[in-house]
Amino acid sequence: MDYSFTPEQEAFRKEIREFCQENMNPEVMSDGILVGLGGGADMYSRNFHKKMAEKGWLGLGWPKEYGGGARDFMDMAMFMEETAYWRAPMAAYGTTVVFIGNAIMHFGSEEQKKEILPKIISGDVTCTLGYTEPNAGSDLASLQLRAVADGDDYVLNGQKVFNTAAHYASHYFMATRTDINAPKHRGISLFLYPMRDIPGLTIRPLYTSAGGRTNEVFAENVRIPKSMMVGELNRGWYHLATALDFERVGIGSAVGGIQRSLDDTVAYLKGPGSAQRHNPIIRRYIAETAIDLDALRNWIYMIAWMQNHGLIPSNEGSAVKILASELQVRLAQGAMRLFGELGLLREEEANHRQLPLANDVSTFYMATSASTALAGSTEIQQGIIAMRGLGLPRSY
Amino acid sequence: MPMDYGLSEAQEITARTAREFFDNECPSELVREIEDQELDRSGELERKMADLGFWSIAIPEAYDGVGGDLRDLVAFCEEAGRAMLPGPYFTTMAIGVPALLTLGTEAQKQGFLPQIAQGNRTLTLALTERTWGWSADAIETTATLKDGQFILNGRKDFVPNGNTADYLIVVARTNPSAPPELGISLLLVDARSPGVSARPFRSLGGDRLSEITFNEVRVPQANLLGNLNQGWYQLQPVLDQAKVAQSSWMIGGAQKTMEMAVDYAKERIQFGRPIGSFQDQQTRIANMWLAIKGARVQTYRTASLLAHGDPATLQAAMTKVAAAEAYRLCSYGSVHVHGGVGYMMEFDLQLYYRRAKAGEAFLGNSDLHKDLVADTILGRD
Repeated sequence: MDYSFTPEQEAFRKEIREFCQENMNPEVMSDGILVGLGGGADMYSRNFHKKMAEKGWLGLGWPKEYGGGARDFMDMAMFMEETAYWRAPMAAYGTTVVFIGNAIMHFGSEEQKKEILPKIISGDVTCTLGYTEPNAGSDLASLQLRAVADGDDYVLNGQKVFNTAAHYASHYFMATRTDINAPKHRGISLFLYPMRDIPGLTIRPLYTSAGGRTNEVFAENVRIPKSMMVGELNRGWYHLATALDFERVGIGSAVGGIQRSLDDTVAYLKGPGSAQRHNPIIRRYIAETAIDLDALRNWIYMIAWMQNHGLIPSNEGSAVKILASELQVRLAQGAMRLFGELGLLREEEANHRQLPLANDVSTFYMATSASTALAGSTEIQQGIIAMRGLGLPRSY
Repeated sequence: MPMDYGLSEAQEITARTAREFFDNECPSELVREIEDQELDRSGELERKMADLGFWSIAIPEAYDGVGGDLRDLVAFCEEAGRAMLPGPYFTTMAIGVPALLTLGTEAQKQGFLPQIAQGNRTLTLALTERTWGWSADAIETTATLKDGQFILNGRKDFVPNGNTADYLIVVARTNPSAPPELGISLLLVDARSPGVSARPFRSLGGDRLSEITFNEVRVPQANLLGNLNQGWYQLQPVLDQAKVAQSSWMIGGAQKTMEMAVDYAKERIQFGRPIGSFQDQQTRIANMWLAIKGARVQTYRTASLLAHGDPATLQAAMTKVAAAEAYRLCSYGSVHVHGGVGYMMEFDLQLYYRRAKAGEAFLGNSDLHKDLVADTILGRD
């Protein structure tokens, strides 16, 4: 029962912090683009991504044999927490490095590992996830996009939606249906292929209410080599289930972003908003948020510890997704209450009044409008805990 | 020591041994029996606990304990809370022992700790008075130093184990003209001293609390615990430790109620299917699991901080809120899952439900601790 950090871990944390403070300047961030929900960490900057590559931080948690930094899960958790706190443009990191990098490492072929992993490390490969379809959201296993074998290739036909990085990523990690006769979970295969300018792939923007961007994607006879299949034919669902656990942990690392929002709110209450500092309702709100955030942080480090010991954080991954998303919503709504009319200001007027925080508040409010629904809704996560974790009989 | 978010091997053994012991020796039937007794403890149970070394957890070997620290007590307390262990164990081991270790003179440690470790002496904390509050200005009981002894006068209320503990740690005002928090001292008072009179009454939590009157009670100066007039501040870190142990105790109870809910949800058939197959029940139970596990992680983290000698008043407050909320959510949720059965006296859930409330209240309820958190983050001025 020892929760203390080692001097080495504290030193690493300091290093990350200094890196963020140094590199989040207008020059480096000049190529930043909004992705996903919009605002804060949902940005991608190729410059910043490359700077991380120079530090050797793109394969931070990977084994040395794949060019990684061989750092453990605790260091990874700290890295995600610190970069989120400083609102670094980490949009490509979570998906590409953590999620897909781990997926390739766990069930990719040796050739794929040799081909892809070094390019992720160098920052030359960025990935987008191709899972969700108009008719396959929570019920992801019912996905329909077809991959039909044809000679040395597969031919893809169908549609994806909410593929967040599709407008800039170099590679597509796509879940397809390869067997229409098998039960739905047993006919799915995964592919990773270069996607920019590939014939037959059409990408159309979808703009979120927070000013971010995601995409709908149409595949019409898109031809990819068979060698681009990742994992086993028709076993994709099972590979995906493991990979999704990694994604949830990544979302939980939003604790850094939530802490930052809380700190900004507290700073506001001690500064321009000090008239409200004594309001008992506000004080109660701050206390409850801090307590829940404290729990979330400890969850995340506990999960990192589990992963360091080879344990699979399935229920725990679901837990942090629930807690992080709900906390984000509460924080956004609380901040909006606190700011009153000022929370309605958008960027132009907020800057005009020299109150940029107001724009953050209104953006955050919109960005969290779907937090509990996305990336595995709260209901799905609760179902995983209840059915997979606690063994309750299936509700669906 | 390398980072370890689980229990150490020694802690696992403590927990396992405690679980087996309580399953055999402290079933809910005994808990119910003791609830109906004015002297609400079992000497036999306590003797058996002494034989297994349970009274010597976190007491240094120099004082006949088994060594270890708060973390070992935390591991034990989850099992004790699960079993709803009656009697003065908590006030002795989670408050008395840390108070002596932190504030006691060598003579006091030698005088008390070996006796405690053998299961031969129990303590409790007499702090709250008629106004019940946990703040310094609620302390009106006075202790006047005269001719090498304190003369204690006043009345304490809601004191757990006030009628059974051998010694009372009395929080008394020794300098009435100082600001409230600066004129308080802690006194080790023999409960059998002339002038001490305890009147026990039933609490919702199932134990007896006591109103204790002190009428010209003479307390030797050597029984001053800590420094004169600094008792209030000196007590707070001790209470931080107590809150962590108490959190673990509450988590143990919450865990049991969750397990009961899971079992019932799998067995109970309505509309041709187990009720655990309905999504709302799954949501409710999943949230119970979440609350417990989160509170447990916070508890372990705070125990770790305190064991390393770091201050943890803020974290202890957060932990207590989380644990109390988990116990409330789980005991309520479990009653809900059980339906009418969950509400019956003859069914065990009501034992836990009541203890969830009493546990929240003792040492300051969640409102008080949320205020403490807000004061720490936003400032008190």
